Amino acid sequence: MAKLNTHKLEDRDVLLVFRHAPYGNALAREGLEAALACGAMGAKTNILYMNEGVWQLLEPQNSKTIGYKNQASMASALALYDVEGIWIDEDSLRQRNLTSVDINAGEIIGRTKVRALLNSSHCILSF
Amino acid sequence: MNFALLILGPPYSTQASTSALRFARAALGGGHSIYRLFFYHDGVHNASALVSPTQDESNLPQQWSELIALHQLDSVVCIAAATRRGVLSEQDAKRLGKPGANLSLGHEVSGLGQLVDASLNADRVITFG
Repeated sequence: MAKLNTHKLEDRDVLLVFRHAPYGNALAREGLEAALACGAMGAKTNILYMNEGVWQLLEPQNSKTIGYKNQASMASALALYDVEGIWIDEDSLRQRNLTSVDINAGEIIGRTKVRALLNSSHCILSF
Repeated sequence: MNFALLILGPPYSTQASTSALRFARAALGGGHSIYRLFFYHDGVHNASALVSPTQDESNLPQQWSELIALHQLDSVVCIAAATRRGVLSEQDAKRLGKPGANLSLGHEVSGLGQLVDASLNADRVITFG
Protein backbone atom coordinates (compact mmCIF):
# COMPACT_ATOMS: atom_id res chain seq x y z
CA MET A 1 0.00 0.00 0.00
CA ALA A 2 1.45 3.32 -1.04
CA LYS A 3 1.74 6.16 1.39
CA LEU A 4 -0.91 8.82 1.06
CA ASN A 5 0.28 11.22 -1.56
CA THR A 6 -1.44 14.56 -1.26
CA HIS A 7 0.84 16.87 -3.18
CA LYS A 8 -1.58 17.21 -6.08
CA LEU A 9 -4.65 17.90 -4.00
CA GLU A 10 -5.07 21.48 -5.11
CA ASP A 11 -5.13 21.02 -8.85
CA ARG A 12 -7.24 17.88 -9.14
CA ASP A 13 -10.88 17.41 -8.37
CA VAL A 14 -13.20 14.49 -7.76
CA LEU A 15 -16.77 14.24 -8.98
CA LEU A 16 -18.97 11.64 -7.35
CA VAL A 17 -22.04 10.70 -9.35
CA PHE A 18 -24.93 9.29 -7.34
CA ARG A 19 -27.31 7.36 -9.55
CA HIS A 20 -29.14 5.00 -7.21
CA ALA A 21 -32.16 5.31 -4.92
CA PRO A 22 -31.40 5.92 -1.23
CA TYR A 23 -32.49 2.51 0.06
CA GLY A 24 -32.64 -1.05 -1.22
CA ASN A 25 -28.93 -0.98 -1.92
CA ALA A 26 -25.96 0.36 0.06
CA LEU A 27 -24.54 2.33 -2.89
CA ALA A 28 -26.16 5.59 -1.75
CA ARG A 29 -24.86 5.31 1.78
CA GLU A 30 -21.38 4.14 0.88
CA GLY A 31 -21.11 6.65 -1.95
CA LEU A 32 -21.88 9.40 0.51
CA GLU A 33 -19.24 8.06 2.89
CA ALA A 34 -16.73 8.22 0.04
CA ALA A 35 -17.77 11.82 -0.64
CA LEU A 36 -17.29 12.75 3.00
CA ALA A 37 -13.84 11.16 2.94
CA CYS A 38 -12.91 13.18 -0.17
CA GLY A 39 -14.06 16.41 1.48
CA ALA A 40 -12.44 15.63 4.81
CA MET A 41 -9.10 14.95 3.09
CA GLY A 42 -9.16 18.30 1.36
CA ALA A 43 -9.83 17.09 -2.18
CA LYS A 44 -11.87 19.46 -4.32
CA THR A 45 -15.11 17.51 -4.26
CA ASN A 46 -18.30 17.81 -6.27
CA ILE A 47 -21.38 15.62 -6.20
CA LEU A 48 -23.86 15.13 -9.01
CA TYR A 49 -27.22 13.52 -8.29
CA MET A 50 -28.84 12.02 -11.34
CA ASN A 51 -31.28 9.32 -12.44
CA GLU A 52 -32.68 7.46 -9.42
CA GLY A 53 -30.05 9.21 -7.29
CA VAL A 54 -32.23 12.33 -7.03
CA TRP A 55 -34.48 10.42 -4.59
CA GLN A 56 -31.61 10.55 -2.09
CA LEU A 57 -32.39 14.23 -1.50
CA LEU A 58 -36.16 13.86 -1.14
CA GLU A 59 -37.48 15.78 1.84
CA PRO A 60 -39.23 14.64 3.94
CA GLN A 61 -38.17 11.01 4.02
CA ASN A 62 -38.37 8.67 6.98
CA SER A 63 -36.24 5.55 7.06
CA LYS A 64 -36.73 4.69 10.73
CA THR A 65 -39.21 1.92 10.12
CA ILE A 66 -36.77 0.06 7.87
CA GLY A 67 -33.87 0.57 10.27
CA TYR A 68 -31.65 2.70 8.03
CA LYS A 69 -30.07 6.09 8.52
CA ASN A 70 -31.89 8.95 6.84
CA GLN A 71 -30.06 9.54 3.58
CA ALA A 72 -31.31 13.12 3.12
CA SER A 73 -30.14 14.10 6.62
CA MET A 74 -26.73 12.60 5.92
CA ALA A 75 -26.56 14.52 2.65
CA SER A 76 -27.31 17.76 4.45
CA ALA A 77 -24.06 17.28 6.40
CA LEU A 78 -22.03 17.52 3.19
CA ALA A 79 -21.32 21.21 3.59
CA LEU A 80 -19.62 20.53 6.92
CA TYR A 81 -17.14 18.28 5.16
CA ASP A 82 -15.98 20.87 2.66
CA VAL A 83 -17.82 19.42 -0.28
CA GLU A 84 -17.59 22.14 -2.87
CA GLY A 85 -20.64 21.68 -5.04
CA ILE A 86 -23.83 19.65 -4.84
CA TRP A 87 -25.50 19.47 -8.25
CA ILE A 88 -28.78 17.94 -9.32
CA ASP A 89 -29.65 16.97 -12.86
CA GLU A 90 -32.76 18.84 -13.91
CA ASP A 91 -33.93 16.20 -16.41
CA SER A 92 -33.82 13.47 -13.76
CA LEU A 93 -35.95 15.57 -11.43
CA ARG A 94 -38.49 16.40 -14.13
CA GLN A 95 -38.80 12.76 -15.26
CA ARG A 96 -39.81 11.91 -11.68
CA ASN A 97 -42.22 14.81 -11.32
CA LEU A 98 -40.01 16.42 -8.65
CA THR A 99 -39.14 20.11 -8.28
CA SER A 100 -36.82 22.20 -6.13
CA VAL A 101 -39.35 22.20 -3.26
CA ASP A 102 -39.10 18.40 -2.93
CA ILE A 103 -35.36 18.26 -2.27
CA ASN A 104 -33.26 19.48 0.61
CA ALA A 105 -29.90 20.48 -0.85
CA GLY A 106 -27.99 21.31 -3.99
CA GLU A 107 -28.29 23.37 -7.12
CA ILE A 108 -30.36 22.21 -10.05
CA ILE A 109 -28.50 22.30 -13.35
CA GLY A 110 -29.50 21.59 -16.95
CA ARG A 111 -28.01 19.21 -19.48
CA THR A 112 -25.31 21.61 -20.72
CA LYS A 113 -23.93 22.20 -17.25
CA VAL A 114 -24.10 18.51 -16.41
CA ARG A 115 -22.06 17.75 -19.49
CA ALA A 116 -19.52 20.46 -18.64
CA LEU A 117 -19.17 19.10 -15.10
CA LEU A 118 -18.54 15.57 -16.38
CA ASN A 119 -16.05 16.86 -18.94
CA SER A 120 -14.05 19.05 -16.60
CA SER A 121 -13.63 16.70 -13.64
CA HIS A 122 -10.28 14.97 -13.27
CA CYS A 123 -11.80 11.91 -11.67
CA ILE A 124 -15.35 10.54 -11.66
CA LEU A 125 -16.49 7.98 -9.13
CA SER A 126 -19.85 6.48 -9.92
CA PHE A 127 -22.17 5.12 -7.25
CA MET B 1 -1.47 5.18 -18.44
CA ASN B 2 -1.78 4.66 -14.73
CA PHE B 3 -5.22 3.31 -13.81
CA ALA B 4 -7.01 2.92 -10.50
CA LEU B 5 -9.91 0.48 -10.33
CA LEU B 6 -12.85 0.96 -8.00
CA ILE B 7 -14.58 -2.40 -7.68
CA LEU B 8 -18.10 -2.22 -6.22
CA GLY B 9 -19.62 -5.43 -7.58
CA PRO B 10 -19.51 -8.78 -5.76
CA PRO B 11 -18.19 -11.92 -7.44
CA TYR B 12 -20.75 -13.97 -9.40
CA SER B 13 -23.91 -11.93 -8.61
CA THR B 14 -23.06 -9.43 -11.33
CA GLN B 15 -20.48 -9.24 -14.10
CA ALA B 16 -18.77 -6.17 -12.61
CA SER B 17 -15.93 -7.92 -10.87
CA THR B 18 -15.21 -10.25 -13.79
CA SER B 19 -15.06 -7.22 -16.08
CA ALA B 20 -12.72 -5.46 -13.66
CA LEU B 21 -10.41 -8.46 -13.58
CA ARG B 22 -10.38 -8.72 -17.36
CA PHE B 23 -9.80 -4.99 -17.68
CA ALA B 24 -6.88 -5.17 -15.24
CA ARG B 25 -5.30 -8.01 -17.21
CA ALA B 26 -5.80 -6.20 -20.51
CA ALA B 27 -4.39 -2.94 -19.16
CA LEU B 28 -1.29 -4.61 -17.73
CA GLY B 29 -0.89 -6.69 -20.89
CA GLY B 30 -1.06 -3.52 -22.96
CA GLY B 31 1.83 -1.95 -21.07
CA HIS B 32 -0.24 0.22 -18.74
CA SER B 33 0.12 0.22 -15.00
CA ILE B 34 -2.33 -0.01 -12.13
CA TYR B 35 -1.96 2.50 -9.34
CA ARG B 36 -4.34 0.71 -7.02
CA LEU B 37 -7.26 -1.70 -6.80
CA PHE B 38 -9.84 -0.44 -4.33
CA PHE B 39 -12.54 -2.88 -3.24
CA TYR B 40 -15.60 -1.17 -1.79
CA HIS B 41 -19.33 -1.79 -1.27
CA ASP B 42 -20.16 -5.42 -2.23
CA GLY B 43 -16.82 -5.55 -4.04
CA VAL B 44 -15.16 -6.50 -0.75
CA HIS B 45 -16.47 -10.06 -1.23
CA ASN B 46 -13.84 -10.41 -3.96
CA ALA B 47 -11.31 -10.50 -1.15
CA SER B 48 -12.91 -13.39 0.73
CA ALA B 49 -10.73 -16.48 0.86
CA LEU B 50 -13.79 -18.57 1.74
CA VAL B 51 -15.42 -18.19 -1.67
CA SER B 52 -15.71 -21.72 -3.04
CA PRO B 53 -17.29 -22.07 -6.46
CA THR B 54 -17.71 -25.46 -8.12
CA GLN B 55 -14.76 -26.81 -10.10
CA ASP B 56 -16.15 -25.87 -13.49
CA GLU B 57 -16.39 -22.22 -12.48
CA SER B 58 -13.50 -19.82 -12.05
CA ASN B 59 -12.59 -18.71 -8.55
CA LEU B 60 -12.62 -14.92 -8.78
CA PRO B 61 -11.07 -14.09 -5.38
CA GLN B 62 -8.27 -16.54 -6.13
CA GLN B 63 -7.72 -14.99 -9.56
CA TRP B 64 -7.53 -11.53 -8.01
CA SER B 65 -4.92 -12.80 -5.53
CA GLU B 66 -2.92 -14.36 -8.36
CA LEU B 67 -3.01 -11.19 -10.46
CA ILE B 68 -1.99 -9.07 -7.46
CA ALA B 69 0.93 -11.39 -6.69
CA LEU B 70 2.07 -11.64 -10.31
CA HIS B 71 2.20 -7.88 -10.86
CA GLN B 72 2.75 -6.87 -7.26
CA LEU B 73 -0.33 -4.68 -7.37
CA ASP B 74 -1.41 -2.39 -4.58
CA SER B 75 -4.80 -3.72 -3.48
CA VAL B 76 -6.86 -2.13 -0.75
CA VAL B 77 -10.11 -3.37 0.77
CA CYS B 78 -12.17 -0.72 2.55
CA ILE B 79 -12.21 -1.62 6.23
CA ALA B 80 -15.69 -0.24 6.99
CA ALA B 81 -17.31 -1.95 3.99
CA ALA B 82 -15.43 -5.20 4.63
CA THR B 83 -16.03 -5.57 8.35
CA ARG B 84 -19.76 -4.92 8.05
CA ARG B 85 -19.89 -7.68 5.44
CA GLY B 86 -17.73 -10.14 7.33
CA VAL B 87 -14.52 -9.92 5.32
CA LEU B 88 -11.91 -9.83 8.07
CA SER B 89 -8.15 -9.77 8.31
CA GLU B 90 -6.48 -11.75 11.12
CA GLN B 91 -6.01 -8.54 13.03
CA ASP B 92 -9.63 -7.39 12.64
CA ALA B 93 -11.03 -10.81 13.54
CA LYS B 94 -8.99 -10.75 16.73
CA ARG B 95 -9.92 -7.15 17.53
CA LEU B 96 -13.63 -7.82 17.01
CA GLY B 97 -13.63 -11.18 18.78
CA LYS B 98 -14.72 -13.13 15.70
CA PRO B 99 -14.05 -16.86 15.24
CA GLY B 100 -12.01 -16.59 12.05
CA ALA B 101 -10.36 -14.38 9.46
CA ASN B 102 -10.98 -14.72 5.72
CA LEU B 103 -9.12 -11.93 3.91
CA SER B 104 -7.44 -13.52 0.92
CA LEU B 105 -3.79 -13.04 0.06
CA GLY B 106 -2.46 -9.86 -1.45
CA HIS B 107 -5.00 -7.40 -0.07
CA GLU B 108 -4.55 -4.81 2.60
CA VAL B 109 -7.33 -3.45 4.73
CA SER B 110 -7.44 0.34 4.94
CA GLY B 111 -9.73 3.35 4.85
CA LEU B 112 -11.45 5.48 2.23
CA GLY B 113 -8.43 7.79 2.28
CA GLN B 114 -6.79 5.29 -0.06
CA LEU B 115 -9.62 5.79 -2.55
CA VAL B 116 -9.26 9.56 -2.33
CA ASP B 117 -5.52 9.22 -2.84
CA ALA B 118 -6.04 6.98 -5.89
CA SER B 119 -8.63 9.39 -7.29
CA LEU B 120 -6.18 12.25 -7.15
CA ASN B 121 -3.05 10.47 -8.28
CA ALA B 122 -4.09 7.93 -10.91
CA ASP B 123 -4.53 9.12 -14.50
CA ARG B 124 -7.95 7.45 -14.67
CA VAL B 125 -10.23 5.82 -12.14
CA ILE B 126 -12.61 3.23 -13.55
CA THR B 127 -15.65 2.19 -11.52
CA PHE B 128 -16.91 -1.39 -11.85
CA GLY B 129 -20.24 -1.97 -10.17
